[in-house]
Amino acid sequence: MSSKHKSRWDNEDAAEDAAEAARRKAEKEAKKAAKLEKARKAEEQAAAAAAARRRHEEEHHEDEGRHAQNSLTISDEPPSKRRKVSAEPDDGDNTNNDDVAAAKKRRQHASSATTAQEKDAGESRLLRFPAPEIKPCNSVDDYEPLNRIEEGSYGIVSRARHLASGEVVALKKLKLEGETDGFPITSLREIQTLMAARHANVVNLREVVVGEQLNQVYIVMDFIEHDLKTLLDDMPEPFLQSEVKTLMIQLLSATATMHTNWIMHRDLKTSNLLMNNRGQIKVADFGLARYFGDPCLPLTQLVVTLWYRSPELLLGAQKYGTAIDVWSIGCIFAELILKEPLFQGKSEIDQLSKIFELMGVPTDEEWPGWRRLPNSKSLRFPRTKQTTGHLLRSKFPLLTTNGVSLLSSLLSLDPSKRITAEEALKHPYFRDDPKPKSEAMFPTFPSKAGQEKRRRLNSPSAPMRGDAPQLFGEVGLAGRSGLFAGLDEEEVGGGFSLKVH
Amino acid sequence: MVSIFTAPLATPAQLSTSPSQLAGIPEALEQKLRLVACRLIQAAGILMELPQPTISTAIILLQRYYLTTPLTTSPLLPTSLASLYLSSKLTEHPQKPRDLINIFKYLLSPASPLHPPHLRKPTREPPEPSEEGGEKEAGKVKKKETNRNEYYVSEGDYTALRSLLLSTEARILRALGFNTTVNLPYTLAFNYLQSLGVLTHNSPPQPDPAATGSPSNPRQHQKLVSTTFAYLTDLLASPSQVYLTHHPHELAVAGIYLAARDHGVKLPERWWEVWDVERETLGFLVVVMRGGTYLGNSKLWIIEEGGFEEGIDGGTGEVVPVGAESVLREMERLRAL
Repeated sequence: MSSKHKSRWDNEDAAEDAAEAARRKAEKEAKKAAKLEKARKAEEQAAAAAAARRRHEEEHHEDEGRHAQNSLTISDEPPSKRRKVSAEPDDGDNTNNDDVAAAKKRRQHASSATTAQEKDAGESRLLRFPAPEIKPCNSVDDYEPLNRIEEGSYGIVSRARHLASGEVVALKKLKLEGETDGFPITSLREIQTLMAARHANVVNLREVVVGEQLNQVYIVMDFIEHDLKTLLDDMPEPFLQSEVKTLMIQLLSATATMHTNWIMHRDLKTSNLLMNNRGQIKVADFGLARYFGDPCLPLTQLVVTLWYRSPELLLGAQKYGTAIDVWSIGCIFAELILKEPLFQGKSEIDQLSKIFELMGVPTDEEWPGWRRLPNSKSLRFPRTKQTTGHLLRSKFPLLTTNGVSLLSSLLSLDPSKRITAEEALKHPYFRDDPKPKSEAMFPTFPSKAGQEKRRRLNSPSAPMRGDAPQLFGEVGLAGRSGLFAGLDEEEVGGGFSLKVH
Repeated sequence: MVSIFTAPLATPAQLSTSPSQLAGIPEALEQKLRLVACRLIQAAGILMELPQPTISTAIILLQRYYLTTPLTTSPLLPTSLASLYLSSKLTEHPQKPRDLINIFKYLLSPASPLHPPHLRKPTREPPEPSEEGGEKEAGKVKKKETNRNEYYVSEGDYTALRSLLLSTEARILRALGFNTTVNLPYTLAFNYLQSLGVLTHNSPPQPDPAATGSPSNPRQHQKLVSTTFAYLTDLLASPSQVYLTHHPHELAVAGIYLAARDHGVKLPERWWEVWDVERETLGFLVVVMRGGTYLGNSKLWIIEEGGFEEGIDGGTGEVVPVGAESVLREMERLRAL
């Protein structure tokens, strides 16, 4: 075995593993050196076998990840007898080649020792899966605190510098003081899902570090300069269509990846989308994220910030799925164009009425079964020809036809008819002119979070744990008809008017 | 991307230098204690009607934790409790500390089916150790004669154990760097069995199953799956700790290999290579799996405090106390030998 063979345990993603890997490699080489001569013969035969069965394997591994490095020279010898399967793997060998038998026994011996992984990746073309190590948390003392960025109910986010590398990171301290049931399940989900959702457009979790006390736990993430909400508030002009397309593609592909990995974010909104100066957005704040299953189980309805909450959640559906994230993406899409949130409800009922004003009251054909959702029984909806069908065309006069079509599919009232993130990426809107702008061409902005405290946002925050609200009353549609405007004020208290463009 | 194929694995250095052994616990004792912890967790999980993935996750978390922390620092009982508590949250079946503590205390009490029969009061009839092992029996509710005081948990005991449970949970998370990803081989094994075509119910019954060797009825399919799962579950408690050294797909393939052989199901040539398992790896795992029955070992009795007694009752088993003090006493005794 030569030194250029890569250890199967080499984790190319983790730089910190490099030292460990080097040490292991050296160890392995020392062991291998003694056996080199005999092993070589065995390897040649194995290579022949590998060549013979490669075609067979490749059919099965089209999308399973990277192939192990193959550093073998393939010979033309027929596969060795050693590969026959008629015998049990553990009851000796069925070959008359002594060298091969010896090599095999040696290997088997090596694997039955505690160091089962001291094996050689170069032998065949089988896939090798890297494994992270089991290692304890580093200390928060590895980081030097800089300034505070944001403080919320979930914890405090501050900027910090990694002392060893000098890199600036975002440090999120989890609030664990009031916890009586150990480490909160929500924080466990946040860390688990953030670890699993590795994507160019998801904020990178570097590690979890801890302080002296057992309740001092910090999540270390890449520091990203902006959040999209603050950017939108400060920009004199909204994003260009080409820029909106790029941002939407990024958001949709991050969401599609999460959904493929059975993760629901459950709090997508512009203030949770961070943006760097290289034209990339990063989905952040997985505080409400969790794994879901199929078929879905009853989950809490108290998720997603009100303005981005989907109608099925507002109507009290206990079973919901990834469509709630897609609704939020629809709201974000509209917000990127309008430069202000699309549905700014003051309460759950107000939010529903704002949604129905724009999207129309659902008919039983549009959304079968919506009347059976818990909250819709106690709500009365005006339903005339005037109140059904969406008004997106007049609200977004400058958006292309395909743009309106994408928006209306993202904001489909019936969650089962709502487009998925995966499908949305293939929408013709993204192929229309103007084409999505390249990330490198994005303008840069002065960072708010870099030096000063990020501004407290003028938007509602994600719901806290508690009981789901029971909605009742009448949903008024002021924008559609003056007749219902008064009713809404009576029931909700907060009046509103819809600007129809 | 954390894939379903990978799990954090132990390094050779971690496996060769056990912190418990560095702390003075002999290897044999450490293995015994770890096995007892696995049995306790498994039995508690069954009593609490938790799904097997939750239980398996707890056992793997415990094994990973003891790679980093000696048994002397983190005694068996709070660690087993905390592992199951943590895994119940991770797998979305959260349990209350109160219930966990009640169940574990019951399992360590004289009323428990895991309690050695010869140490029970003679008035009670000893349960028959069955082939399936103690866990199955644990599911049965004991008769009226059971004295509830035997497993009553006083408020003081509960409070103390609860705070120990919660602090151990925090320590487990820290020791694992909060990487709690546990990928179990069950789903993979099921998928592999499906892909191998040995679970297709649609195929017409074979005229002569013995000739073709393939299963001919749904019951046999069922058996193939459950035997595979049984191998995989029992393997959790193997002293080789292969869940710390091997990826789930390798374990899944080994489980299928043995189950298929048990039921005389013929599989295609070199089928394991389709799932990237080397013949040598498979061979090693098969040897480990056939090494013995671990979780279902009916010759192993568990008490809270007391002496380690081997070969009791004419060789019907051994007694392992899990209490920290008993472990220390046993360490003293072994050192004196």
